[in-house]
Amino acid sequence: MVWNRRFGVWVFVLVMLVNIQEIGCAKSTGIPADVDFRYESDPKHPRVGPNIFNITLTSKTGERLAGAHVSLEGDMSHAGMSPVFGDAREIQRGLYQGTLDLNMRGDWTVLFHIKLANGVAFDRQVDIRNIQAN
Amino acid sequence: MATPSSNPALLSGDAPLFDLLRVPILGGFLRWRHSRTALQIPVLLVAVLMILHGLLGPTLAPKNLATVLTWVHFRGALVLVLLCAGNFFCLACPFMLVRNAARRLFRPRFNWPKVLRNKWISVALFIAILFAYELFSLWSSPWWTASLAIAYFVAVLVIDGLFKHAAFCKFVCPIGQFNFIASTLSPLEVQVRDQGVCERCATKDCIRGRREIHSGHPSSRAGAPSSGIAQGFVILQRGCELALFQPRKVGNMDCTFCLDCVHACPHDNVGVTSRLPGAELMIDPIRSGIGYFSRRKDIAALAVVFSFGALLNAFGMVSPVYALEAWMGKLLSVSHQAPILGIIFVVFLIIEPVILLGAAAWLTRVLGGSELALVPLAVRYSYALVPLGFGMWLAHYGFHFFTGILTIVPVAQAALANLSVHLFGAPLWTWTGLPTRFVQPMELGFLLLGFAGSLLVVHTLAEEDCARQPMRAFVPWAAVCVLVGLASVWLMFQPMEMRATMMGG
Repeated sequence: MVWNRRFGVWVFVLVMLVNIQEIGCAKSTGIPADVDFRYESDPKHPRVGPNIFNITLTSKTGERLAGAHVSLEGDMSHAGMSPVFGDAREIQRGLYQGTLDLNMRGDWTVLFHIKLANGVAFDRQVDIRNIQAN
Repeated sequence: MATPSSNPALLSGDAPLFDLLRVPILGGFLRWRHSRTALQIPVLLVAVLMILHGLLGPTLAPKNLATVLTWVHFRGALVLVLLCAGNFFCLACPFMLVRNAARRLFRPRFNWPKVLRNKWISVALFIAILFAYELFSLWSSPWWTASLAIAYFVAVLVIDGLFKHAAFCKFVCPIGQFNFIASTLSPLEVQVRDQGVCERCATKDCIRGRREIHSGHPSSRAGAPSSGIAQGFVILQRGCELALFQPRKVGNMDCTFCLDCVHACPHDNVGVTSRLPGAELMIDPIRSGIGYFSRRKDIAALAVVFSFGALLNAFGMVSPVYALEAWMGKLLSVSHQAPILGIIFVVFLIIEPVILLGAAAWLTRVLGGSELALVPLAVRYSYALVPLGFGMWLAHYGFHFFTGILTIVPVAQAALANLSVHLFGAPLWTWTGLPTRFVQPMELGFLLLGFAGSLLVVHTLAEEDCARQPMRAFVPWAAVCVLVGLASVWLMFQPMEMRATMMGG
């Protein structure tokens, strides 16, 4: 009986661990289904230093989405590194332009924080690998 | 030519200037029987939070508690505490708290196999963790970081659930081995205050523990102070689980600072006292629970992996490594990361040390007239590289710690915000730490400190080996120190590049 109880404890612990790990795998980006997000950067493959990002937001019917607030955030792949931030302004209807100063070589993750005119907010995450100095 | 021997003047002599256990309040706390548990509980809670956030929280490393706390704060605080005090992280080890709780359910039945009573497994695991760190880019993955912590808990429970005493700490734990070898350079040591008291002691509780005979069934003793009940005895207080007999213990190797010996000693004769950092590397007496350093190839291998691994770990964070990897990949027509990384590890951790230590040992025989064979000479002097290696670990981990020390604030704010607890407004993502220009001089200071320490150890050993012409034994090993030291400084000034994709991406 003692061994059965001990075995049960072990099984319980293992099942809990497996479940926790499976929950960890289930992630979503949360982008609304009726919004099309596109971006371009200048230079085309970002380099160390200031990089311009042009973001186009359209609906699924092809209509440009004006009046959104778009901000940019760049994060290094290593914990403890300072993130960089930038705001984008609308230069044409539905076209937003912002600058990010990527200040170190390596892999970066750029986050586009977007709040549409109708109040819907979402993030778009883009991994940019192997950023090099000029 | 002197034979390797003990040089007690370096270790003992006058009474220690400082005893942590006699410091008001702090000393009283550490002497309290439950002080270790009191330290372990908060660390365990933090570990659980890290694991949960690592598995369920943001996937971006700079925004996750698992990666920020593990790779910025834990590592940095660990090496700084080792430098300034001693192995207090093993004292507060959360794995041991879980193990002790589990041992109330599962009493270990086996002794650790004799053939495995050495550091080879832990050296292999140490290398495996360094390898996994690069291969899986652990620093950039909260999920992998949390999984590593879970694997650690499972390993502790399995090994110490099966085997008696502190088998995991002494023979398996790679973090523990890192702490043991680094703590040879710590200014504090758990040691007896008065050897005379130990000579008169009849019970040897510091190693045997304090027990009382008990007649009832084990389970009837609810509230017994310890779970260790064996052969009709109740263990009231454990003795040293790592087989270090205090009166013959030398230095910090294998000491987890658990303070069991302090609590067990009926004469209040064990303290946490000051000593000369690194002095234990300059001597070779027989050490309780260890034997002679000069005869322990496994501990020498640990010292080598610790020292050269420090350079390798830092090398993985600078630009030249990617150029080297790309070149090797092209040369060998290999696009997968693992084999390239494997070759680099073999070169850095085996071939390079063998060439450097082998050449220095050969020159010591030729120039200094040492009668020792090459391998014993290499083993004896390999410990001299530990200060250099520690300097590099300090420079590397200290850099991340000081430049990212405040990042825990916004990460914790964001984690709480996800639970609808908004502390001090929006997360303060601009909070990071000291600017690089302030941290780099500190890094250089750590490297120079390590370099000076290594030269001092080499000189002391050379004086003992070649009393008449110590320079002849000193020069080859000093040359090794200079080469490793220059490599460390060169690494420090390389542009940092953090890629989670080694082969170019």
